[in-house]
Amino acid sequence: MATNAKNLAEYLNNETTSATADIADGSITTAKLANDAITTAKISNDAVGADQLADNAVLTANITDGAVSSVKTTGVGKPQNLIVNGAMQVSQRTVSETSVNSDRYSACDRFKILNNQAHFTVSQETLSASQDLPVAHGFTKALKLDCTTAQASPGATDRMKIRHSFEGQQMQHLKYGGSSAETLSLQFWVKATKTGVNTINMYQDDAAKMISASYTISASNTWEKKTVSFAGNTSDMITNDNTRGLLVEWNLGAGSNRTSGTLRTAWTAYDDADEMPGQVNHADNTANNFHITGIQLEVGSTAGDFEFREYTDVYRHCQRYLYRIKGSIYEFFVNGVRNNTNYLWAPLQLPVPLRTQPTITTAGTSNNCFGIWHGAGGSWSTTHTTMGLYSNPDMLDGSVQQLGLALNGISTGFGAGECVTLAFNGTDRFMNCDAEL
Amino acid sequence: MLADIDDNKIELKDAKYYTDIMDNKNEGIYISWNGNVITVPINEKNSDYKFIKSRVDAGTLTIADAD
Repeated sequence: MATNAKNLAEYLNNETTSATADIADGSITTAKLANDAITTAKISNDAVGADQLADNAVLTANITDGAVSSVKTTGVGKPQNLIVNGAMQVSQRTVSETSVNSDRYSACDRFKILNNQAHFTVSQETLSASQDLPVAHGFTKALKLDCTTAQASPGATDRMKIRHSFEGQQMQHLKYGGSSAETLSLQFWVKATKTGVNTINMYQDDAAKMISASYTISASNTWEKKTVSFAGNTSDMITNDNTRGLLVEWNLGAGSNRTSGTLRTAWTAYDDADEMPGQVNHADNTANNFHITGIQLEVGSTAGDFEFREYTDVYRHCQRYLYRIKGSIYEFFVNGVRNNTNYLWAPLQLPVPLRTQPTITTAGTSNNCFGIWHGAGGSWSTTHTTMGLYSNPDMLDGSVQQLGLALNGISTGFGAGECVTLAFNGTDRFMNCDAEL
Repeated sequence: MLADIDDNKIELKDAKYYTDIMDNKNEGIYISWNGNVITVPINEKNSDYKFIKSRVDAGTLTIADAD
């Protein structure tokens, strides 16, 4: 018989078995198979591909212990985000600063504003669940730049950027300088009044080289998620120390010196002309705002889920670059001793090692910021002149675990060797120990 | 070098060294940075010191000796 089905005549002719060829396509349905009728031995190797598995068909209970080997877990559980504070959770210096028109760290730790073009209010924005799409993705804060004095025609050398810098020793796993140099993916949420083309640069200090990418903001004042990628630098290693090894910059506008070139899609020698070709000017109108959050830079050519880290973890990481003590009058924070001259010495232990010896900024002058409790009766003195840092031993990696504070010109009413307590002298006083890159 | 040092809107003035209490060597710098007096260690890895040094090298800033 030429068909794949037996007929009655063939059975009457004493053919009692059916070969595979005798079974019509699709004639054996699942209902015809008893439970457990098909054993593993009946399934040939590689017979079940991904197409044969329905969504969610493989349950955890179906995977035997040890069945998933390490080669099957590439990319799973990797420490993803190289950006510190990408969700804009930590903002030690301020939550809002007006009239920012020079380079500085302002709201949202680790993100530096470079701006000699216009005036902006820089703030840590609290997002609204009803108005801001990133909230639905777990982001409740954003870095916001609100243009308050516009510069529609920037000078040739003007530029405005948001920068995040990385220590070289924290980027060694990128394997720059060899054929295995890793591609990086950068994802972020952005909302801006100004639509159009925007540019992003990466810069490697040790090689003085750059690479760029661009993205387009399509709709005004609408949150959009963007992803760009950067090839690894196969030519130049990143110096393995605590100085700046890489940085990434979101460009917001510039003068002709930085917009006249072409976008770099490979690592090549830095040229300012190639920083921002085609870049829209977010500073050309006081109605302009620029918001950004959910920033993640990770190894790989595709961006994964955002790595949400616990707040204290992010805060401690930020403290490697800024340790800020804040308080009001009489609130003390460290003990010290008066030596036999006019100095008060106070060793200050840090919660995490600072990247390097810090710059100290205080609220107002030293004696406006600090006072001293001393004596058995608890006398209060603000009679000192300056504060300096002394004897700050570096750790082997160049970081600093403790600071030696010294107040000079203290009151002669102190006894030599007298123990004292350093406190704040006023409302909202602070001391910043800044070791940013 | 990428533009870390081309911001002419940062006003630095009244720079003065301070010295170590024990050996009298220069330990750091007091300087007015956009109107705020800050304390900067003499340390090449401190980015503020690098910025100050760039101004000194360019001849646009002088640091006075310690008292």
